[in-house]
Amino acid sequence: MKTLDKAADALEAFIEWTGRFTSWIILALVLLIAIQVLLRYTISLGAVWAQELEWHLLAVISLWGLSYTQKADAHVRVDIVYEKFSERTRQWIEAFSAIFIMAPMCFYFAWLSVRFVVQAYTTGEISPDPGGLTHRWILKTFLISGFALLGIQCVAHALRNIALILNGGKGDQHADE
Amino acid sequence: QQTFNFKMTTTWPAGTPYYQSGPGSAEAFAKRVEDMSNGRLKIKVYAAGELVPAFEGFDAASAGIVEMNHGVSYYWAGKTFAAQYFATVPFGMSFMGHHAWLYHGGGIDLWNEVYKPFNVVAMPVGCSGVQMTGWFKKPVESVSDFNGLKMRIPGLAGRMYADLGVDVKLLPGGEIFPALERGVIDAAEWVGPYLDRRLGLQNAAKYYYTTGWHEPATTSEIVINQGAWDKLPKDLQAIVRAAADATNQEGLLWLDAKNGEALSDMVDNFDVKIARLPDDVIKALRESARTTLEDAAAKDPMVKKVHESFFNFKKNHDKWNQISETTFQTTVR
Amino acid sequence: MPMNEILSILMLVSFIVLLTLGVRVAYAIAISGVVFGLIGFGPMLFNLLPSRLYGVATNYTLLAVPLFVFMGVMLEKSRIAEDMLDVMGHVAGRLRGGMGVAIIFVGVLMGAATGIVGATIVTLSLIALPTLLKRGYDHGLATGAICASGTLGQILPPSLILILLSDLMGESVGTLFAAAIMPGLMLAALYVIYILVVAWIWPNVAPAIPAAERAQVSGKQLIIDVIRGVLPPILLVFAVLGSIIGGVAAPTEAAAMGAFGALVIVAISGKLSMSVLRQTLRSTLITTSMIMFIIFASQAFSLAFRGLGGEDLIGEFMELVPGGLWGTIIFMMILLFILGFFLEWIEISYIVLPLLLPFFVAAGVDMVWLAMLICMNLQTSFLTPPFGWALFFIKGAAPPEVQIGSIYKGVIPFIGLQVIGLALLMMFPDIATWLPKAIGWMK
Ligand code: NA
Ligand code: NA
Repeated sequence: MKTLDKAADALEAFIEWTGRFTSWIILALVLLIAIQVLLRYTISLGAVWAQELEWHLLAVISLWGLSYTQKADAHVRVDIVYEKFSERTRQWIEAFSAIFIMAPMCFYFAWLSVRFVVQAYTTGEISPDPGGLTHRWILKTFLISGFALLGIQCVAHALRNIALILNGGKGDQHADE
Repeated sequence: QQTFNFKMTTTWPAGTPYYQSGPGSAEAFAKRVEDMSNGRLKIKVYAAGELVPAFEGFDAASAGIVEMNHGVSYYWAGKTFAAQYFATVPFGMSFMGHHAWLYHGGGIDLWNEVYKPFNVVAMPVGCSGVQMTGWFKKPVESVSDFNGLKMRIPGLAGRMYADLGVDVKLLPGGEIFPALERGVIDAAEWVGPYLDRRLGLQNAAKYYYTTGWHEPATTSEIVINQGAWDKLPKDLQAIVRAAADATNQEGLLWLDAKNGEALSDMVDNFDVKIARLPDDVIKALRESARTTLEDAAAKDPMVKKVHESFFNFKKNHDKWNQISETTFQTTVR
Repeated sequence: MPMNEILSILMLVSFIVLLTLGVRVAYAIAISGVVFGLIGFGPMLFNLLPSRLYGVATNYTLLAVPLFVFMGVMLEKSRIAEDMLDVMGHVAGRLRGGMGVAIIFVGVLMGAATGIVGATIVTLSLIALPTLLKRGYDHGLATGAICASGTLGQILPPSLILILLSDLMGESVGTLFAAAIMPGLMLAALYVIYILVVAWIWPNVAPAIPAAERAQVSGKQLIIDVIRGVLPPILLVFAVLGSIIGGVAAPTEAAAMGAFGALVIVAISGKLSMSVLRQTLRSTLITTSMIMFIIFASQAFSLAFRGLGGEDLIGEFMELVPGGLWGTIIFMMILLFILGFFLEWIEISYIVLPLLLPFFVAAGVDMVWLAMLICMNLQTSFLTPPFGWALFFIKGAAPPEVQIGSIYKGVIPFIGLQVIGLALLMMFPDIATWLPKAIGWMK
């Protein structure tokens, strides 16, 4: 059980790091758009690549944020019935769904995206707008990494709940935040 | 007899006339194929976003996940710059010359050569004719009026306007109207009178400039996955080609008929003023278009091949066009 | 019944069962789609999925989500939102429901800057919900008011539904935008009236600030508080809406002006520290991804629904249309409403409208009016339990003590108000068509 928790700790530490990093991209996004608006309004200055960077950043934020959000247990659920289950039942539901639903779904999404990225890579896809961003395959890899990271967090979630179940339902100090 | 069921994605919003629905559209093409083949080839058409987002259908057809995609080749300029030429060429040729090149000047063959690595077969399926320069909040009288002008203009033309000092803005279809109406942008480009009126642009800006130097013959395409195409028997292949040609003609003529009515309506009822781009602006844009295309041709042998084919054809065609079409339009009519 | 239609029904059932068991919404909807799509269609179908995921991740209008959420979290963490609502409560004096009314106004203002419902609902609940709860508002009324006013962004321009409808119906975007303003404001007015009436009848549902507390604040102090508490939010409204109206920013960009404005205001007020910024960014990331994940995951469900030919199922259902103009309109309204339980509005529009629009065109129905009916109807479907997305979004952003059961109960009266609004619009088409005609955008 200690081993399971240790493994979960390690995975979650990694997710925590990627999430903290990603959160700063939001500030970059706010400043990027605000500065563009002000420059355009005041001195009619703008660049195609900077406009494209806006939704590039959205992709990074939304995809890399998924795992951090799972770690914070902030993906919504309908808890009308769930609330009424015993602690033990909930642990079983969590372990079961993490192993058979959440993690497989994430890795399936990531795996599907590989071919999509390869297609962009082999054709050397760039923006169709002159002055736009190049290397579009890099942007597309965030589909793979985003869902893979979420899958890793789901594995950590499974480990924690298995540990809890094996431990007779009692968590140690590392229970999910 | 074997029947085939194909899926065709498009780059167009559901219901858009000429492109997605009605005469000359993707749906009209599919219906024609089904009728001509007596139901042996059924093509189910999906609008942008229905199966995949607008600009993802080409990749889907390329990978064989859907059999066909309906769009315009310049959307794939980011995958291969040479694709730009088959749709339309800035300061190129209008419908007559452009399609003469495509069908009888080697254009379609080059098109398929360019698409070979993408595993698709291409053919023309519609043409918008000469488009419009676009909508301007204020009159533009000289090159200097373009310096600092904020314009919604995607694609290659954006590069040429940028050379004139235009601040190029990319906006999704739905934000064009509010942005132009409020003056976030000073100008916007869409298609021509009929489709522009549908967007309501006559309510946002009053100066409607001609001519579509940047899109003199915008030609729609269907691309068909190579494997799916090879599986079709010869007669069905011939039907697809014939249906594409028929739809191409239908769309061009239908839109031409509608544009006249829409233009008169906007001038008479919406106080729209028609204006022509000043000569010095045309001159500057032409120079920019020339160098941009020549630079691209110098960088890539495939682009060079297509570029030379197009402009060699144009040289001869221009002479003929000058003494026939142009003379008729300027002195006889 | 063909196999695939059975599978699409089973897919829906499995979603409901997983959701009920407490599997998180996004995973429940994705796995149902994936499993039944694979059974019915095979793996080929999901090769289309990455394109759809990429389309969501890079969707320009969805930029409003992180931007507005950032603004909301910033205002919450810096307590500016709380101060503003408190001052509004003081200004309302003995009048109960004052803060609730303020929420509706903010909802209208935000709805005028974006069409992304997730962004408005979440931002409103970040800004207002904790304060409303602290002030003793009923959980149901507070969350219902936020959900309802948050969905106003769906009908108030810029509206994504109207953009899609303009393509489908051949009406100009400008005309539809103009037509939507009065119906949207009418709904807002209905909400306001409802809150005031409810607060007047049941004193504990939306209490005023206690007299004793109000007595501590002198008239002069209140004026100072108003300037201090309400000025920053007014500046923000100016940053967002002013930049659209003044032609500084396009709608989605205006959300960034709001986010940037919040940052500046908090900095000026001296409440911006490294730790506030760090926490704000992390909360923003979590809330943004919560919304985006539901949208990502629903792509698998929608794709499977299309792959299994779910539209044929609906096509068969169409044979039940009772006939006649009003019969068909009411049938369509009910159909949109039911589909809204489990499909995204965009899928509904693609599936239902092409089937029914030719009938309405042939019947000579005013398309502008019809567009407003459809838009208002789809807006309502965001709210309907158990699957209205607005409910998931607010649950994701609300403090943990707010249970989904009270959210469900809370929205029901607002759904009733929407139905009243819909009925009024059906009876009086001028509500929609008057404005565009008055400004000459509609003949
Ligand atoms: Na155009
Ligand atoms: Na809106």
